[in-house]
Amino acid sequence: MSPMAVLDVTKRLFKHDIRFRLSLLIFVILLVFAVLSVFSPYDPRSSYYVPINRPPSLSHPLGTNGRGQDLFWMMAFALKNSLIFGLEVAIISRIIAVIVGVIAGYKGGIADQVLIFLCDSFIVLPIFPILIFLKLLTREMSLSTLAVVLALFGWPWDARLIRSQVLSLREQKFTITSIFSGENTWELIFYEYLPHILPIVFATTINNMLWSLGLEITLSVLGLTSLDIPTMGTITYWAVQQQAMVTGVWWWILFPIVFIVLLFTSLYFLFVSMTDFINPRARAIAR
Amino acid sequence: MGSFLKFFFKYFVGRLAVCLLVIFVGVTITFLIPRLIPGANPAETAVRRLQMAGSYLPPESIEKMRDELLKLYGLEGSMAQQYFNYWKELLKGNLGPSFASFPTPVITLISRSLPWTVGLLVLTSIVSWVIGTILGGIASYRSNTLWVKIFEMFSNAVRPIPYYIFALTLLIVFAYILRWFPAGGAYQIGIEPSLSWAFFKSVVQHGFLPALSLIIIGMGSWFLNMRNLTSNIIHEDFVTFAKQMKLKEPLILRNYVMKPAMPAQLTGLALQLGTVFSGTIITEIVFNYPGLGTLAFTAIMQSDYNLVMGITLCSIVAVALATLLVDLLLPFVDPRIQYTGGAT
Amino acid sequence: MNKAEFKKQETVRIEVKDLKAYYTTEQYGITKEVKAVEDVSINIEGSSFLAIVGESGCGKTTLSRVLYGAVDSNLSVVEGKVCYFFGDTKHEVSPKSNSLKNVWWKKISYIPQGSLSALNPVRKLRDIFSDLTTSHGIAFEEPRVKTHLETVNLPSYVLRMYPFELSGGMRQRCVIALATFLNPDVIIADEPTSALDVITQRDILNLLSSIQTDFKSTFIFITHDISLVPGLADIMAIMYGGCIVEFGPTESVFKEPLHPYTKFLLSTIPTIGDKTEKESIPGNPVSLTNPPPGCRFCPRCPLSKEICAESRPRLFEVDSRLHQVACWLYK
Repeated sequence: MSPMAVLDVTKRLFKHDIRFRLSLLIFVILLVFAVLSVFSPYDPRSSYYVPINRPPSLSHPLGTNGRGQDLFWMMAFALKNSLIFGLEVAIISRIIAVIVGVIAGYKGGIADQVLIFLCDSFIVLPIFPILIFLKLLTREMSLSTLAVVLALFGWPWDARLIRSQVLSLREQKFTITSIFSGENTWELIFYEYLPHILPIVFATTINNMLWSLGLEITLSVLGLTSLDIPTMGTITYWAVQQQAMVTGVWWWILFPIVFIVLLFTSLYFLFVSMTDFINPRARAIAR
Repeated sequence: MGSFLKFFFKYFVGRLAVCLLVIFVGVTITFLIPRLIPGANPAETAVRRLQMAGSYLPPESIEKMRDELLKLYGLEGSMAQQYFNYWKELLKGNLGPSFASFPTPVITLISRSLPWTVGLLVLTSIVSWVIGTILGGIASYRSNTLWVKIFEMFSNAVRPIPYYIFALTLLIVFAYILRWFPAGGAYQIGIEPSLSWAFFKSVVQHGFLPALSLIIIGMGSWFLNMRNLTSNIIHEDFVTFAKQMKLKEPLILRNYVMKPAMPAQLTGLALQLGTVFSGTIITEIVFNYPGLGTLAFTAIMQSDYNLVMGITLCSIVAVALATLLVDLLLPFVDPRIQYTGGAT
Repeated sequence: MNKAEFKKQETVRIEVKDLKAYYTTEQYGITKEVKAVEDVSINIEGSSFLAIVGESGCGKTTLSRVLYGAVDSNLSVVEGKVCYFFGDTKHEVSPKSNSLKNVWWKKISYIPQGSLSALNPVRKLRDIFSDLTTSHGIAFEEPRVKTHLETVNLPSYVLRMYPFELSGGMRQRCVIALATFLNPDVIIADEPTSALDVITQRDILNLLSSIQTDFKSTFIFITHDISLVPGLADIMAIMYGGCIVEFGPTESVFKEPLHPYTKFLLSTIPTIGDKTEKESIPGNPVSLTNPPPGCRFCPRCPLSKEICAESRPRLFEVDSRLHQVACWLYK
């Protein structure tokens, strides 16, 4: 899985899969927008620094909202915070998932049984009610804490995927060859297995981000996260809470929804096109 | 036929036992949780609230009140005694009083909201499952027709969007911009609930958008699920053989592609029933629908533990019963169950 | 209903001419072509039992599918054709047309390789038969089906059962019963006994043989096991790497195998008392995605000459005995 191979795969996907092409473009645009937030002249946590409820214009490309904030820069920050949040959850849960999956798949025996039992118990837990419950107990939760909590819920499914992959890898001839030629377990896992596991890890990362971002939006919109930090969810919360639809400030609710739809759709189609490519039983277009 | 009936009876008893066990565990958990959370002694909180209301109360009255409250909230006596009383009250249909809306019994509050949620969920689950399944089966067989491709694209486009955003968009477009439907409530304020046409019309009008949002999302999901199932089945040997036998295409679609997919699809419905309650909270909040979801949400915001536990218990019972019903349909769809003993 | 009523009145002739059938798949801009059937020519007259023998991956299943006319977007006839003459009517499978489909199951039927999974698991046998009759415009009469089941030695109670309740041999007989129900002139059987135990295998083969004798159907029997052929088939073809390398009456081929590959195959048949060591053919099976330009057996052939690597030999007759071989050794 050298960088050259990855680049080649990306180029091939880009050329032949329209879903990949479009979604990658959209996602890159969103990324650029998020990075733009670095240049913001305004502090994201402050409010009432511009005239309220102004429609989109040259000085305020996306308009301003009822709390006196410039929507353009707020969206940039929201994208950045949401993406970083999603990445935090994804990275932490990937690490847990890979560790659990590899140990369970490779060691087998009691370790496997225990870990599988742990996996299944976590999968069955209804996340949404539990999260709401946690909110009750801790009142306000910072974004980073929420990220950790979600990461603790987000690993079981993918751990199982990685475990089955490792199980099948373990049965392959090259495992025995490697062991007999003196490779120790660490080397085996890192150099031989990882290239096979990485595509799955990458694909599930996107799926995980979809899930965690969805939860973040749902929780924020119910008013359960730190509401003065702009994220895709909190911006929507304020727009709804301040009755943007009724007071005619349509740009306040429209742009967040549009950006959310773009973000999720692009991530989803990236995921779908990549898994289609990785899966050897992908539907082949025959002449 | 006789052996099937015998088997079905055994199967029914088995499934019923599982259902009752789940309810039993659910009841026990809802019993334990409020009693294990530190600092949530509702009797104290209630007394404190009354005291803060400003009225002066002599100490003996406070004691008497505390005792009464403890008894009312089922917190009197040892854990074992409490557990026994809990079951006793449950079987009488008493879930205790609500903390926030004291002294309204929890069961009253629930019974007011329950019909709206149950009606909405039952209707939308059945409609979206049936339509999604049928379309999904046809779609994998005629994957090149236009309407299939459009439907597939639409389902895929809708799938990643968080449900809240989707519901919100529907609300904005149809209630605020187009003004075709009302923006909230279960029926128009002022109309008395009755069997009149006006009331019925009002209910349908108010319930249309929430139902539509659930049906679209549900249908998309069942469509994709069924399509994935059937697109694997299409490559099975028996479908190839059916084609080689030159069986009529509609017959192959019905009996050889869709029927074999039903066990998995029905099981999917059974498994999904448990999660349907989290979805309902969002629906009801977006559309301001006075069902169990809004009730639960406000209860949580008000720290009304009794109400929350009551609603949780009701949902557990509802899900267990619904799963039982779906499970009972399974033997009619999968002949192999008779031999595997109904293992899901 | 006696078997004599079902004897065929019209003669059947099958003519396969220079048949080429390839699999084509395209994915992410890469086209893959598998040249599974290359220049196959066969001629059969009257009701015979033809066996096509070859190892796994030699293209025999593909050939059987093309012979049945079961082509689709993945598998297509690139060149050549398969012609069936049922009395005066002709049906053909060619790159442009496929009229054979019109007479599927009525004049020609197919017994698939995965017979054990060829029956719909959620349908009772009775319903499968009823599906068949409905689709072909015949009324479903249970007595008639039961009589037909007798010809394959199946008890009538299987109609009430689901496929998974039957043993492998019984399921195979069900598939044969379905395939012979409309009394087709030609029956293509693709490895019908591979997944069965030896005793059941012999029963099924005897059954197929008796069907051929009693109903005068023409059988095309695909197998990888050459030892099954004697006593079963009167003509045989050996297939390697998508090409037919030897073709002729079973007796001739066994008495005097011409092609080096045939000789290898025959030498592998174990006989009681024979203690000689069996040699396996050196090298690897030919790749059908990238086949060699000349004779496809050349890389593994101990007797290969220069011409073998350059051009591919066609089938030619040896000693005018209808015994044909595709090998430069005999030109």
